[in-house]
Amino acid sequence: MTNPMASVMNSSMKRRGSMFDGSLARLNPVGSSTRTFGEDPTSETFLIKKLSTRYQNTYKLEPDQRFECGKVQAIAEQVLMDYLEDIEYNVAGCRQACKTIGDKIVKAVQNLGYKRHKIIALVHIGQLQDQGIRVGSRCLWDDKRDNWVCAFYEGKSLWATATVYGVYYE
Amino acid sequence: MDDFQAGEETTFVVDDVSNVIKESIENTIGGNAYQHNKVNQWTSNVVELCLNQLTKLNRPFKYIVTAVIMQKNGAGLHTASSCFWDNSTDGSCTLRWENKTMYCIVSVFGLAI
Repeated sequence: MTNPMASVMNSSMKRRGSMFDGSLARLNPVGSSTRTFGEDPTSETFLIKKLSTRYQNTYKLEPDQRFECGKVQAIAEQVLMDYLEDIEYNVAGCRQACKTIGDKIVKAVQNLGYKRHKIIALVHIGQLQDQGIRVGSRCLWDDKRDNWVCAFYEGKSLWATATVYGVYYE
Repeated sequence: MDDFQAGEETTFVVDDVSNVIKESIENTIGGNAYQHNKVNQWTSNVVELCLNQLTKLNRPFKYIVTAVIMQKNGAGLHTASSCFWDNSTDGSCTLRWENKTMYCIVSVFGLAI
């Protein structure tokens, strides 16, 4: 009689998805990490960033237009629905969709007319495969003037969340 | 007129932030296996520890820290972010960490005040 544990281990190893190639199979038991840059670290713009201009104070502490959570959430949900309704999860398509959705959300929020707000849109798209996942976030900012909204969409084979942060820049 | 402040650090430095994130993750979940009932606590802890360490850097930045912990199950995950900010002063850093049972992806966005 074969060892049941061994057969389970073997079968689960074979069924494992191919998100990472086999060369990474032997991991340090504690963990390993990869770092992602927003820009190519060898490019000139990355190095030139060190020098930045300091502007004079504007003394304008309150934004003309507060970050409207309701409207922004509606926009985020609409964009998610437009792009992901009835779409099957596939690697290339979702990778592109992720980036496009982020860009669309930022442009749409800007169209609402926020002149002094910095906008960040963070989009996660994942495959539905009975796994557990937890997304959490915490911010260090000015509670009265900055805000955030989150929109969630679940399809047949994928789920997506879009988080939009609006930070006032004085 | 001297407009450039070369001595004071008013730009987002990715290396420091990335080290902070790595230490926060390893101190919170390094060496643990994925447990559904604990993952809630872990995400909060990773994010809070990150934020506390970032404040200790004493830089004039507002920070947004996001953490995603996902069980290793063969499922795919895509993450993208789109930002409208001042490119010379603001920046982001994303660190992807994994062990045998889970992935942890932490993104830090730093916005200059």
